[in-house]
Amino acid sequence: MDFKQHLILLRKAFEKSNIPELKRLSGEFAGDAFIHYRKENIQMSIIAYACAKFLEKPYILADPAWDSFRKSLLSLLEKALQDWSSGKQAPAFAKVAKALSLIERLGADLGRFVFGIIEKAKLKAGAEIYAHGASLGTAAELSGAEKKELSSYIAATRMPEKYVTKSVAQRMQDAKKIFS
Amino acid sequence: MGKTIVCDSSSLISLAETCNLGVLSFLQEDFKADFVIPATVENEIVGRPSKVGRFSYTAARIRHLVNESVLRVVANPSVASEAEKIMARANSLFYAEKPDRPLKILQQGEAECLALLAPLQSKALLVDEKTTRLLLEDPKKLFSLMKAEHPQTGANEKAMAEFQKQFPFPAMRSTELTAFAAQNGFFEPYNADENEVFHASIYALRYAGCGISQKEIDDYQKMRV
Repeated sequence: MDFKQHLILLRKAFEKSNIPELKRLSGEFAGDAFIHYRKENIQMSIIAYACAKFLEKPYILADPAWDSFRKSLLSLLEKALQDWSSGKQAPAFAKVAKALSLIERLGADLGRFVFGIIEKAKLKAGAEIYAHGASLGTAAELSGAEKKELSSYIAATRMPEKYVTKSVAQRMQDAKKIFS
Repeated sequence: MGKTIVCDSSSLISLAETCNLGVLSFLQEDFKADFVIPATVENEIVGRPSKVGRFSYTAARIRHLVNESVLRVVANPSVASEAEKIMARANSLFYAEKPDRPLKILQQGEAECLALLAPLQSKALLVDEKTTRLLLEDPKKLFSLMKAEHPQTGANEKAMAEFQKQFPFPAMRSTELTAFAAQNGFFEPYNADENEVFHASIYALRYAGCGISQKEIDDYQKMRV
């Protein structure tokens, strides 16, 4: 999926308060971040996830800061789309970064919850990238998640079930040989 | 002569988070193990996290191992230079749709670990994360996993085989390391609780980041020390 499509889908999903679609896009953007090795895709993934979580909380939607945030975010995404369509890549990326900053600034009004959402979004993005084949280091580097936390997050999923090669018995035989 | 084991940050993180760093000094003393890390890994697990409050305790404990020569840091320009070449090769093994869209799968720390294996005549690579391990053990499996996530993924299969051949070293995870130490008395100080503590340590390592499967956990649970 190209970046323009990402912007269109993200803007549409947020405008319609489509929580399942925002969550789906979050995963898709993270996968695409690995394909293109582009941090802006991670930013979009975080934005999508964060917006989905905000929309789930009635107290956030009722907060005075929400309306202004919603308008500003939609405007930024629209302008990013216009920039991209005009071939202005760098300004488009800058607006996506600014959109992420908007979410981070919302933390000043909503407190710890927002910070937790962004960190969780990075972990989910990192796990998606890891699932696509990246090493832990690469996934951490691209997603911005801390390696230690990403490692623990991935280990608690069913992903490790897929990565078995040798049996435990074989591995213990190897260990015996290594230390003999 | 020491048995050199190059350590990736993923395994050291698992051991640190589960209070099992003592396994390293235990094996160093009893089996003359020589645990080595490259400079980038040291920065990843000591240098950088020591500046962040919530990670500084783990960083300090690992730094202590470096200060006590339980972990040996190898830093020289030839390692960094060789790592660049390894990264370039690893990061061109797989591609998205077309070969001119290579997929970056390894980063500097992991590549430096691979770069140290041959020159130090290492016995093994200690690594919990799956990509580096699969490149050594079964790169075809890594490719099939990548294709399952993104069907248009392609691979240079000849280069994959050559890459694997370049690193004929066993990969070991923190669970095997701890289990081997357990079999040789590491948990003896727990007396009657020795087996319980050993089995619990495997669970702890899993949830700290060592990606082992449920069947592997079950197999470790059957082991008696």
